[in-house]
Amino acid sequence: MALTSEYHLSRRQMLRRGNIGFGALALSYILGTEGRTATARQASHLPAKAKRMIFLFMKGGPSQMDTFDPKPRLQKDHGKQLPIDRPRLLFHAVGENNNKLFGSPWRFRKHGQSGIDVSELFPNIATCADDLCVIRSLHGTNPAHGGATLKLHTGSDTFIRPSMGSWISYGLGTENENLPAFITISPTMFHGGVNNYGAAFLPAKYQGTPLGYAGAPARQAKMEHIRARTPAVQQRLQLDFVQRLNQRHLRGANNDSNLEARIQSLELAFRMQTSAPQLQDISDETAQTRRLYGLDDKPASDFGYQCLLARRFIERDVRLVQVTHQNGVGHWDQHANLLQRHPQNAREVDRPIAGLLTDLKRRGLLNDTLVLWGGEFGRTPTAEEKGKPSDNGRDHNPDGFTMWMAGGGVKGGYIHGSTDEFGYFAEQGKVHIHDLHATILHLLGLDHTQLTYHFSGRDFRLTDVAGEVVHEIIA
Amino acid sequence: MRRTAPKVRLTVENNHAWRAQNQRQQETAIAHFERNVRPLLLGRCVKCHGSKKVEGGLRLDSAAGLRRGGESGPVVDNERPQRSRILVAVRRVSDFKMPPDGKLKPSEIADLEQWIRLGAVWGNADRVTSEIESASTDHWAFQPIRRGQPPSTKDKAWAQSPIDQFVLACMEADGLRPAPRANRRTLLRRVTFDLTGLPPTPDEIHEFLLDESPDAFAKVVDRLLASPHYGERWGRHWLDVARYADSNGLDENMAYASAYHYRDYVIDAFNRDKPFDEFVRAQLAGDLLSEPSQPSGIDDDVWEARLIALAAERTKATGFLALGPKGLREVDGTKMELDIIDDQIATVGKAFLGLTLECSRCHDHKFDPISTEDYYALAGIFKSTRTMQQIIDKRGKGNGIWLEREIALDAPAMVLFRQRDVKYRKELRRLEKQLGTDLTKILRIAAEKRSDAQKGQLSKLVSASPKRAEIVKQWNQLASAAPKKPLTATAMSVQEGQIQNVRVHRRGSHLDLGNEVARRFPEVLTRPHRPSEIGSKQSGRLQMARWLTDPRHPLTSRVIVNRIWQWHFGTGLVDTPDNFGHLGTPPTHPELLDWLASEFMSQGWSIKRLHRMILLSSAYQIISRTTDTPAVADKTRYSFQRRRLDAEEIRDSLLFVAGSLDTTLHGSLLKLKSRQYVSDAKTGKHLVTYDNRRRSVYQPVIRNKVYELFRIFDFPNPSLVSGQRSSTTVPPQLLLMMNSELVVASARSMAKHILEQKLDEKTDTYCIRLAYETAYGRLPDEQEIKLSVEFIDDYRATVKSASPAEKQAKAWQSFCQALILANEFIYLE
Repeated sequence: MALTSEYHLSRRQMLRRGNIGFGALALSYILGTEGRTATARQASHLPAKAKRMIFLFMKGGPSQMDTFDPKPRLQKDHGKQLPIDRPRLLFHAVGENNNKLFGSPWRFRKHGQSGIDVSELFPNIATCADDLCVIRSLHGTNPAHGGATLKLHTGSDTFIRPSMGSWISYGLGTENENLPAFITISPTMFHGGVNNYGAAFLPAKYQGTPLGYAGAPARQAKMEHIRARTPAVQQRLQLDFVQRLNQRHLRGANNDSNLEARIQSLELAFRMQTSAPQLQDISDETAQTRRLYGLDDKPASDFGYQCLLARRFIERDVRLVQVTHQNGVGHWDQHANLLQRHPQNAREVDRPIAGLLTDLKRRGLLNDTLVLWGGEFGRTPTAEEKGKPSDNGRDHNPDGFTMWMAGGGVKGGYIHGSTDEFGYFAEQGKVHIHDLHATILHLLGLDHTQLTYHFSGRDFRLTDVAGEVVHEIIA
Repeated sequence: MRRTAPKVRLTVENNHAWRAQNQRQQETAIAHFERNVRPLLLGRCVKCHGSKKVEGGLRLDSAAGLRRGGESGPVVDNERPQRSRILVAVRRVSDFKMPPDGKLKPSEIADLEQWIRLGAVWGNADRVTSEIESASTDHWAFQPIRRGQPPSTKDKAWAQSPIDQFVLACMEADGLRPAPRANRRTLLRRVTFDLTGLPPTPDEIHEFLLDESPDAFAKVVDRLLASPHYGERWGRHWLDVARYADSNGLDENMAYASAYHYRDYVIDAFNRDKPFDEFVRAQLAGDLLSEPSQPSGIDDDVWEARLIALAAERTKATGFLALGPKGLREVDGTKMELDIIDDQIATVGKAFLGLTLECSRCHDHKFDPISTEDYYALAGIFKSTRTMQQIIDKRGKGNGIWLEREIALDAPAMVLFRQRDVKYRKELRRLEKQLGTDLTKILRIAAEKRSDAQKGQLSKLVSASPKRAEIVKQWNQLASAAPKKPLTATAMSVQEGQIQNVRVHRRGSHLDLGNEVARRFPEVLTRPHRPSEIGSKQSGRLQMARWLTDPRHPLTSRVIVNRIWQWHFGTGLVDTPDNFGHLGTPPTHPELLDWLASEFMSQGWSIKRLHRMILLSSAYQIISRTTDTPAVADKTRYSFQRRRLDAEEIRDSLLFVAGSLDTTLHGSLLKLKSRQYVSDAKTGKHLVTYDNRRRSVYQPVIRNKVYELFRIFDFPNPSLVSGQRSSTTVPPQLLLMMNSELVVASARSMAKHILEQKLDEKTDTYCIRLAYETAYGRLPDEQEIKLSVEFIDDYRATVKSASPAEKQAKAWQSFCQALILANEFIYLE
C-alpha cells in the first residue's frame, strides 16, 4: 500500500520505490506538500481504538511466575526436578543440576473487581488491576538478550528490520509537527541498541528520537543539539540572514523543492528549540502529580520522571513513547539473587507505573492510549545452581511469558492465555511476538498485512509473513 | 534528492502523459497481482501450466500465456469477469475442477476474482515461474556483453568522448538538447568533491581559472586522481558496498579493533588503481591466490619482502568476507553460523552480481532464476570457509569469536628477521648437537624457571667438562642475541575450513533438512562460461573469484561500471545498483552500459581510466538544474543533477573551512580492544568518541550506534550492502548545524582566520569575499556583499560586550556560521 507519508521523499525516490505513481506525485505537487517536513495525518486502514502508545520496557526479562502468573503446582513441587522436557535451546542453565523447580518467594492476591492476580512485588500496580489486560501466553523471542530484544522491537532476530515504533510512525504520521512522532526515553545501548528504534530501510524520518540512554539519569536526557548557543534575538537575526541567502540561492536553482524543504526545516528546528525543552521542564506539574509518579521516593524517581515525560509527550500527540527500565547493571536479568533484586526493580517501577495509569485515566487519555508493559522474555520456573548462596535466580525463558496492556481499546481486568502448570511454556491462547505486533497495529488502526514498504524488490511488513490479531483481548 | 543520468529522466517524461491518468488504479492492480496472485499462480498452477508441462495447452507463467488461453479458449473473460473459465474452475462448481490436488482457500479465490475484476493486470516482470528456463535466462543482465560502435550524432561538436555519442544520440532521438557547459568554478567544485570528497582550496581555484590551455580540466582530473584523498573518497564508496563497520552489531556490540586493516587496504587499492578483477579476487580468496613469479632483475631480498607485503595485503582483503554483522551470543550455534554465511552470500551477491541471492535461503527466488539448491551450493562454499575461531564455548553457550590472522607490518624487517632466524637456528642446532639432549632440554628452560634439580644437574654436567662448559657459554651468548621478530598485527580474515557440502534447508530452517547440494555457482550464471571444477579439498572460493572475474561473466563488469557511473552522476544507468535481477530497473542506455563494461575490461579493469573517460565527457561538464522541475516544462535539455553533500563531505568541509582538517592517511581511531563492548557494561556510556579532526572516513563505524552526525545525514546502515545513499532533510540536521560544538567551533575558527586578514589592513569587502570563496568556492556579487555587511553590523550591535574586538569576533563568527548554515554550503551544483 502506498501511504501518503511518502510525499516528503523526492520525486525520484518515489519513482525508485516503484509503487507510487504520477497520480500521487501530481497531487502532492499541486498541494505544495512535497518536500515539506510536516506530515499530514495518515489515513488508517481500520477504525483506531488507540491513537498513541506508551511502551514500558522492562529490560532483562521480568519473571512471570513472580509477578502476574501464579503457579500453585510450582509452589507445591518447589525443590523437585522439573518433570517435563526443557526446550531445545537453553541460554545459561545448561546441565542437570539446573533443573530444580523454584517456587515463587512472593505471595499473590486477587485484586480489583475482576480479581486479577498480582504478586506482592507490585502493590501499587495492583490497585489498577481492573485496567490491566494480562497476556500470560507470550512466546517466540530468542533465548539471548540481543536476539530477544531485537525480535520484540523489530520482529526479527536475524535481519536488520525497521523497529515497531518506526512502522507506527510511518503508518500514522505525526499530529504535532513540532515534535517527533516516536520518542524513546533512555533506550538501551545494548542488545541491538539503535536498531531497536531505528528505521532500517524505512526513510530516516521514521526512526525514533532518543533522549539519553539507559544507565544515565533520565533527567539529563536531552534531545541532541536542542539548546541554542546564542540568545533567541541573535539567533533569529542570523537565521533571517541565512534565509535571505537561501531565497536568493533558491531562485537561482529553479525553486528546487529539496532546497525549499531545507528552508522549512530550518524554521521547524528553530521552533523545536523552544518546544522540546519546555516539555521536559516539569516545574508546572503539581506536587500531588509528582508524588503520584513516585518522584519523592529516591529509588522510584528516575523511572517516575520517565513515565511523567511519557505522559507529557503523549498529551502533545507524540504517537509512540518508549520508556526503558534498565538501572545500569543487570536490570531484570536475575540469573542469581532474584530474592534481592526483583523487589528492588519492582520498587523502582511500581509507583511510577501505577501513577502513569492513574494520571492517564483521570485526564481521559487512557481510553485512546495503549500502554504495554513487559520485557524481552520471561524467566524459567527452575533455579540456576552454582552452589553459592546467591543461588536463587532464574534463566531466560522465551517460550512462555507475560506482558500486559492497558487502555487503548483492550479489555480491562482481563486475563488472556496461560502457561503450563509450571509456567514454562505458553499453552493456551498462545500469542507469538508477531501476533503481539499484529494486535498492537490493529488497535492503532493499522492492518499489519497492509502496512508494507517496498524495498529491494519486495514488500516488507513488521510481521513478515506471520501474525494473527488477538481479537479476544479487544474491548 | 538524487542526481540522474540523462535517460532516466527522459523515460519518465515520455511516460508521463499516458500514465498519469490511470496510474493509481494500475498500481493497485499490480500491487494486488504481485502480493496475492503471482505467488498463488506460482504455488498452485504453474507446475502443470508452465514450462515443464503445458496441460490443456494453457500456460499461466506469463502474460502472453494467460492472454492466449488454453485449448478450450480464453480463460479470462474481460466482458463478464465472473464467468472467466479460470474462476469457474477454481470455484469447482462444474465438472472442471482446478487445481486437481485440492481446492483453493476462499480468500485465494477472492484474490483471483479481484484480480480479474481489476483487468487481470500482469505485474512488472514477464514471468511468474522461478524455474530455470529460457524466459528467465533471457533476462538482459544474464546475456553476454555486446560491444557496439558509439552511434553517430547530428551535432558533431558537443561530443568529446564515445560516452557523449551514446548520450547525445538518445537525446537527439527524443528531440532534446543538452544543457550548456558549467562555468569553471562550478566545474572545479563539482569534480573536487566528486573525486576527493573535499572542496577546492582558493589556490586550486585560481590556478584553474588562470590556466588557459585546452587540457586545463584534464590536468585537474589527473591532479585529483593522483591525490591520496581520492582513495579516501572512492574507498569509502566501496566500503558502503562492503557494509564496513568496526563492531559486530546485532546482539552484543563488540569492537572489531582490527577491521580497519581492511579499510586501509581498500583506500590503498583505489589510490594505486589496483585492477578491479584483482581487487575482487583478493577480497574473496586472497589467501588462496598463487604467488606471482619473480621477475628477472629483482633482488631476492626485495622480492621476498614484496611477497610478504602481498600476503599481508591479501589477508587484509579477505576481511571483506569476515567483517559482516554477527549475532555472537546466539545460543543456537548452527543458526549463528548460517546467519554469518547468509551475510556472506547476500554481500557477494549484491556487491558483485547485483543479485539478491539471499532471497533463496527460504524458498526459490520469486523473480530471478535462483533456486534454493543454488543458495545452499554457495552456502557449502562458505561453510567450508573458516570465518569463526569459535561459535559455541566449552560450556555450550553461544560465544562467537571471529578469526584473526597475523599480518606483517614491515616486510623488509621481516625478511631480515627470517634470514637471521634461519642462521641462528642452524647455529643453535649445531651447538646443541654437541651438548646432547639432556643438557639442551635444561638450557631451553629459561634460567629463572629451572628447578633446583635441573640447576644441579646443569652445573654438574658443565663442571665435568671444560669443553662442554665452553659450548654452553657459546650457547648462552647465542641465545641472548636471538633475532627479534618485528612487530606484527592481526587482521579479520578467512581461511579454508573443513570442506563440506550443505543440505538444502527447507524454509531456511536448519531443523528441516533436504538433499545435499554439491558446492557450485548459480546454474543460470554458469551457462555462458563454465567455471573450473571445485576440488574435493577446496572450499570453492578460489574458483568463485576466478569465475566472477572472467571477462565473459555477464555481471561483474556491468555491475561495477554502473556503480562508478552512479557515484559520479547520482543515478546509475541501471537505477538499482544492487539489483540487476528481474525486479531491478533495466538500463536506460544498454548499449552504453555494455560499451563501458567492455572498454573497462580492455583497459585492464582500471577504475582510474574509467573515471577519466567519464569526467572528460561533455555529459559530466554541463550545468545542473533542479531535481524536480515539472518535467514537461523543461523538455529542451538535459542537465547535471544538484546533490546534497554526503555525511562525510559535510563534516570534512566543516573542518576544511575551519582550517583544521588533519589529513593524515590510514589507521584506526577506535580506542577499544577487540571484543571490548562499545558501551560500558555498568553505566551504559558509549565508549567510542568522535572528537578528532581526521577525515571522516576514519571515524569508527559502530553498528547499532553510528556516529550521530553520520546517522542524521543518511549514512547507510552498515549492516547492509548499500549501493545508493538517500538524502533526506529533517530538523535534527538543522539543529546540528545550528547548535553542535563541531559547527560552532568551525565557524569560530573560520572567522578567526578571516579576521587575521583584517590585521593586514584588508577591507570588510575583502574578508567577505574570502569567506564566500572558502565556503562556496565562488565570489559574492554586489548585493550579497551589501547584505553581508549589513548583517555583520546589525549583529555586532546585539553583542553585549565592552570589548570591540569581542563584538567583532562574535559578529564574524555568526556570519561564518550563517554561510555554513545556508543551503549553498551543503548542496553541490
